[in-house]
Amino acid sequence: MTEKKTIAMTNDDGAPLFTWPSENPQLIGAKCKTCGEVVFPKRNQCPICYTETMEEVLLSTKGKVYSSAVTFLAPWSGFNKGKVPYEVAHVELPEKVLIATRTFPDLKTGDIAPLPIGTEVEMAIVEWGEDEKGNTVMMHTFRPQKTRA
Amino acid sequence: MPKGAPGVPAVTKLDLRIPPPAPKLPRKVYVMGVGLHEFGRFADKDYGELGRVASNRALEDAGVPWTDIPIMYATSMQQGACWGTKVAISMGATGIPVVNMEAACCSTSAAIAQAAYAIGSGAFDLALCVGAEKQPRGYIPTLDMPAWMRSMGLGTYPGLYAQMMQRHMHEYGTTIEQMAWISVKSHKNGAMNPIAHYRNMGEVTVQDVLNSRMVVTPFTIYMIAPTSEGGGAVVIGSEEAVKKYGVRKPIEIAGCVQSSMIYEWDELLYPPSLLRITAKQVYEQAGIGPEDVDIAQIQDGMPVGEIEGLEEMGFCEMGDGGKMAEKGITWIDGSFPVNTDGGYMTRGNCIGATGAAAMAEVVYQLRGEAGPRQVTNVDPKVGLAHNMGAGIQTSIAILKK
Ligand SMILES: [Zn+2]
Repeated sequence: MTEKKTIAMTNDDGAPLFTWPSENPQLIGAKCKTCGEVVFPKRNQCPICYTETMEEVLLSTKGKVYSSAVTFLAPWSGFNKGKVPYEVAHVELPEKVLIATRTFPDLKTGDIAPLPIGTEVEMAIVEWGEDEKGNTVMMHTFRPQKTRA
Repeated sequence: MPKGAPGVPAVTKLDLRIPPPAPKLPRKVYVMGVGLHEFGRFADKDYGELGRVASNRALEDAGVPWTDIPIMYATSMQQGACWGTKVAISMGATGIPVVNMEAACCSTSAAIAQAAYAIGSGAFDLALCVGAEKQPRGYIPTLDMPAWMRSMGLGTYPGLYAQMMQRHMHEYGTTIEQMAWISVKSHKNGAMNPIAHYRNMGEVTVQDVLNSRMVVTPFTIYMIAPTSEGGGAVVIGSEEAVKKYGVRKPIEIAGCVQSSMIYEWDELLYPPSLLRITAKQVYEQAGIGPEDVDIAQIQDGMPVGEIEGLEEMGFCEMGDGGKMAEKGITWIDGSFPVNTDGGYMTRGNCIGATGAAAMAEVVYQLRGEAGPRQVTNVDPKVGLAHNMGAGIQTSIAILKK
């Protein structure tokens, strides 16, 4: 009997996009040992100096909104339940890498909270939905940084 | 071109990675004929038929019999396999080589570039480039993006172009009204184009555009190109072919370049330097600069395409792209008409044939045969046709009278 699991969203090569399960999950990128370029998701060859000297690196969990928009039209199937409107964004991390992301504060409520360019955000992991095997798939999202007490 | 065209912005970040120069062609290459099948929805026509009609119109325009064509380049994004032979069979197969090519919305322009290289280097004297598309309504599938982006709803072109537009608004103060002016211009031009998908919409005002349904902020439905069915074809040939067939008004392909992805960390959909690098290549190939261009077709699937295209190809300062339609500069009666056929936005985006449509409009304008769409404020001698497609890929051709 196979047990249903909670798993991370993966890239097309099957590699998870972030460390999971984890108390402090982080996106998994790659850094070039030759020129220092950081990319997400990870890849095997550097897009700047073209060497094969990429090594896996865990990325910062805080960044700034680089751009964002609100979509009112549900895309094709495979999108999580087609709930609209929803927000799309790119977040800039200090490593100089952009992360394509949703910025829902909470997937379950479906509330959209458009985040203007420059908003300081932090990563969180939320439920995306179930895959065909019944596993719960988690995805990354970014939301406004909590102010320190 | 508007006086004081500033030229292509400097490429600052990629000095070591600029692609090799565009090919030099030992012989001149000409557009001999163009032909379009109407853009829209055609439940009663398959790919082969759409391509056949467009091909025959282009062959008739060129005065070249089908049986004289030695090679065909056929383009599509959505047909799976062997689409070109379907066109050839529907025209009565002649046994010629059929090259199937796919480069998303750049497909026909990429095929025309390859055909121009084949003719320019002397291998052939004639070629037929034909594109067509059958496709479902709605979003264009983003087959170039990973599954996680699609399943998270992040991999849609409107969503990504919208983020580019938001960034442009943030950096330069481009307004939603300026975007609406681009749509108003497109609807006006499209209404005068007998093959346009949206040719029967009547007059559209800025308010109509702003009041139409929001799709993805800041784009309303009137600012987004429809996915269209249809077809387009271009016959190109050498100087000898032009003479042999007595082509009335040959149009020289002075430059044609296709380019694909490079990496820049701050790319949202395509890297900021991609278009300016391609523009530099094609201007160099044609031996001209943006100040010599009189009219242009620029990818305007959404307003950000036309706005950034104007800036990146050197027709206005960075940040001024949004003002060009608002000020009337890019209208048919302006000093630098752009997308006189309605562009992607109202002529339609018939992916596999879009490049042919862009080139055809430049040809009609240079020949003075654009009818009610003929530009009135310039006597066009040089035109530019630009496309941008998934992958990401871009293509630019420069045509000369
Ligand atoms: Zn490197």
